[in-house]
Amino acid sequence: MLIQIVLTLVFLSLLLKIVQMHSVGVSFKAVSIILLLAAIYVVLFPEIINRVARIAGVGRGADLMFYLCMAVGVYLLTLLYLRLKDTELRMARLVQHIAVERAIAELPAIHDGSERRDQ
Amino acid sequence: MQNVSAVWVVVPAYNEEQTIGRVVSELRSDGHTVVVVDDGSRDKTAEIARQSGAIVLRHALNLGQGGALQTGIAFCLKANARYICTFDADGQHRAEDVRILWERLVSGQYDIVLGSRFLGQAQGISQSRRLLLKTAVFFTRLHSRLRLTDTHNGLRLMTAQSAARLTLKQLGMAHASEILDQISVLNLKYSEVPVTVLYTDYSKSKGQSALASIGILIELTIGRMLK
Repeated sequence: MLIQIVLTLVFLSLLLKIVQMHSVGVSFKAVSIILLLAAIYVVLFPEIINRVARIAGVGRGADLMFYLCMAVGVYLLTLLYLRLKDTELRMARLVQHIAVERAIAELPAIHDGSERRDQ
Repeated sequence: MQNVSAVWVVVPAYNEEQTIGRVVSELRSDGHTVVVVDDGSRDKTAEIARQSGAIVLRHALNLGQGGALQTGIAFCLKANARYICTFDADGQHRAEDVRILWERLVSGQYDIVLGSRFLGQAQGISQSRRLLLKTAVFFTRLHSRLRLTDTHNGLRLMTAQSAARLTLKQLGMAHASEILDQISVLNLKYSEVPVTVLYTDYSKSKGQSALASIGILIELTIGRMLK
């Protein structure tokens, strides 16, 4: 079937990209390769999904895939959100650090804070 | 002998060119060191604040009021201030209330004192705003178990030692509740002091809308979950 050929080619090209990547960790590489191989296997032999679905108590394989996609999607979104929040806070700390350091450098002299600073 | 001029006043400001000059001048005439944190304003806030005699810290990007307060407090600690006051830039607080807070802090040896418009006066407040703030007080009391009458007042005074112990992460408006959480967690000795909050057309226009409070609540909830 056409869809099987297209999906297999897509997954294969992704596989090739990941194998060639140098900037990623070994564990990320390994997990990605295993997942992609599994995906190719499922595309070529879709009956396996139906069997897994029946074991899991879900009617059809396509439904199982749908549920899994939802779960993975929510997980990734949460991860992304947390990462975004973290980046935001890091950026803020940088902006704050620059502001404080500049002002400290501009202070005429260190003083003990008990008296008002003259202009 | 220490006097009230030992109090450093942190004023977070975002596009407040209309009011910042008067706010800074009044605080300066009471002898305070004034630290204005310009939170990425696009107007002349920083320039006017500097001309009025404030030390001005500038954020390259707009972070939010919480972020600006953190910067101001960090600066005061680095510059060896002994007492740190937070003060809104929109002119809703009275400079003379700083002295009242300070007298309470020193005489009662408190770690932090908080201004309350409901013990004092809220001039020109609308019924809806009163209701909104009272609701906020109710929920904050439930959560932090502090016995307070006004949980969202920008006028606070703390010792440098207490300021150094605060860990503040909220960049936006949720910082007000975060500070109260910290008072509770760190078991700081606190007290509320009656102050006057003036509601002007300007301060009303700069204030938070009722709708924004829902966003703040969400921010706060997420912040608490991530702790």
